[in-house]
Amino acid sequence: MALLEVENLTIAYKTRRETAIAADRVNFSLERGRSVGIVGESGCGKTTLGMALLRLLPSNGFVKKGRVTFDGMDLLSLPDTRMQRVRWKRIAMIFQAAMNAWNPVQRIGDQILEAIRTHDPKITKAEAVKQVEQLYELVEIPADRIFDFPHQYSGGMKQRAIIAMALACSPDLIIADEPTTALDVIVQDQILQKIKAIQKEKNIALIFISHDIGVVAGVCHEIMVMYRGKIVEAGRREEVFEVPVHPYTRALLSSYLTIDGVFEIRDKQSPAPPCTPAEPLSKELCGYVHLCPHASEACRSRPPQWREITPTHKVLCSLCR
Amino acid sequence: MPDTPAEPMVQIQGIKKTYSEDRSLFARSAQALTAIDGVSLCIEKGEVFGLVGASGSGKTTLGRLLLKLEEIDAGQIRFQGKDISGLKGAALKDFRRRVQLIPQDPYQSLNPYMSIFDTVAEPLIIHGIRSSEARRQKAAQALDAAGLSPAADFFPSYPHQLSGGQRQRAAIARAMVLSPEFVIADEPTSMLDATISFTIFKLLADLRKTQGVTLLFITHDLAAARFLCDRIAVIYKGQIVESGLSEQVINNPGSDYTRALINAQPRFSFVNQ
Repeated sequence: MALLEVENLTIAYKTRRETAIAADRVNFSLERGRSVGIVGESGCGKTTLGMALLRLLPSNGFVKKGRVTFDGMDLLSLPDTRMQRVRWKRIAMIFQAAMNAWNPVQRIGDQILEAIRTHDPKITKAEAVKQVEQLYELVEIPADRIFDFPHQYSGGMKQRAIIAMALACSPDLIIADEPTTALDVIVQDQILQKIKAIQKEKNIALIFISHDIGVVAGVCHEIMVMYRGKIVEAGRREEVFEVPVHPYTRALLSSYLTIDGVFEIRDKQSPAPPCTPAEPLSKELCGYVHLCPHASEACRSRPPQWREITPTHKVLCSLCR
Repeated sequence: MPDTPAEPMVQIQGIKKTYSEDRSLFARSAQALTAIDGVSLCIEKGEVFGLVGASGSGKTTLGRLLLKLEEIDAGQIRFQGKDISGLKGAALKDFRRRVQLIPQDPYQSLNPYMSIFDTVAEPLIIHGIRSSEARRQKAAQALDAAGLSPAADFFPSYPHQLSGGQRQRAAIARAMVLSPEFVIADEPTSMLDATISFTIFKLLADLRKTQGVTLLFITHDLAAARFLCDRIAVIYKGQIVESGLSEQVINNPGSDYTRALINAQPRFSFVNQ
């Protein structure tokens, strides 16, 4: 059994007017040492999905149905006290814009120490400091900067310290939500290389959430493309980037500017390779139908089905034959 | 590229800008920081010029100096042939009409208490367009041109009702409403998604074509600069390390720093995996 299994996870927000579905029947699993990237535009539900795994949804958000199994535990029905022991110790999260969340009047080292000692009350201060030193070595910040204040760090250093804090309790799974979005390209590249190297070295499972497909491509083994709350295409990254099938994935890729111009989709034909139906699923029509250049009568009248292009590459689209 | 050998839009010669850290109660030392260290550039009429650099390179400072939001310490900036350092009163106001800024973050640059109409019409009031009918018309044109149409639907909206991309379009409309000749776009998409960024870049390219505006595009993203710009200059620690036609700079980088920037770009090659 995989480290993390997400089955049919549906997350909704209650608003005054309606109950809005933010993530709709999401399925995936993740093994130790593997990484999956969730790509999509803002509002597609990718952050909600990450938050739900740690049960950190805002008060009007709730899991409507589905299961999340982590290392054999059913996370969604775990008592709060046990869930607290999972958070940070087993599953850590790098929140969006976390580098701006350092307490400005507390030294960074003290803030990391606090995290370590909260989750491991038995550790002595000297041991904890030693641990911070090791973490700093890992993220390549000189040890004499540990007890600096946040404003004395550059943006990249603050972000690396956040990564150090995420690693503080040696988690099995890290959820990174847009960990490099506010950084410039050179620093971004350094941070991504760091995340990748640490993930490999420590055999951590990684969920990497980003709107930037280029970034995800560099870090993750597997890619899930999310659109309006649904995963619409999932596969190994070579498959998704080289033979993107869902028209939304193709649109996303072809609006990506690379150093050589606009991203070129290698397989230029219409997105309809032969594939086999995987599972009958939804009742609603495809969410992309109003924008899709390939939408047919069938798309407007019948819900899309999951289709298998290869055993590892799936797409939620009626176009495939 | 314009083929007219006319006067350049902007000519910068050997400008410097130093910030001195005042010795205050909390400061450990008083140090001077040179943000711009002898930059010379020439931006031709009608072109899109890219200024590329990492954070802290001085690219935003250079933009602020060109807008005369800050004064240079040495050198000269000429706008349409005229030195801007002595501008005052009516001449300065006229300069302010001709040169506009598209700010970085549309989540912060728009006043949350002002409707989109008020936001876009405010520059018109400042620059003396008295007739409210004329203001409505110009604001509508600017919003339409920025892709917020029908404009009348957006007039009563407030920033929080718009998406990030729509907000940036409103900021662009505000910058364009006075028909400026030179617009500085300072990382206009750094807060936006890749797909939305792409549509904003296309909008900027369109505005250059339809309104003939000269654009200084400040970015850290070489891929975006290549897409949008005729020429680019790479700035590092307050100095221009390289400049030239976009394609040339990217295909044949002449400086180590440009090469580092290029290598840091996300790539889709999976060879070494």
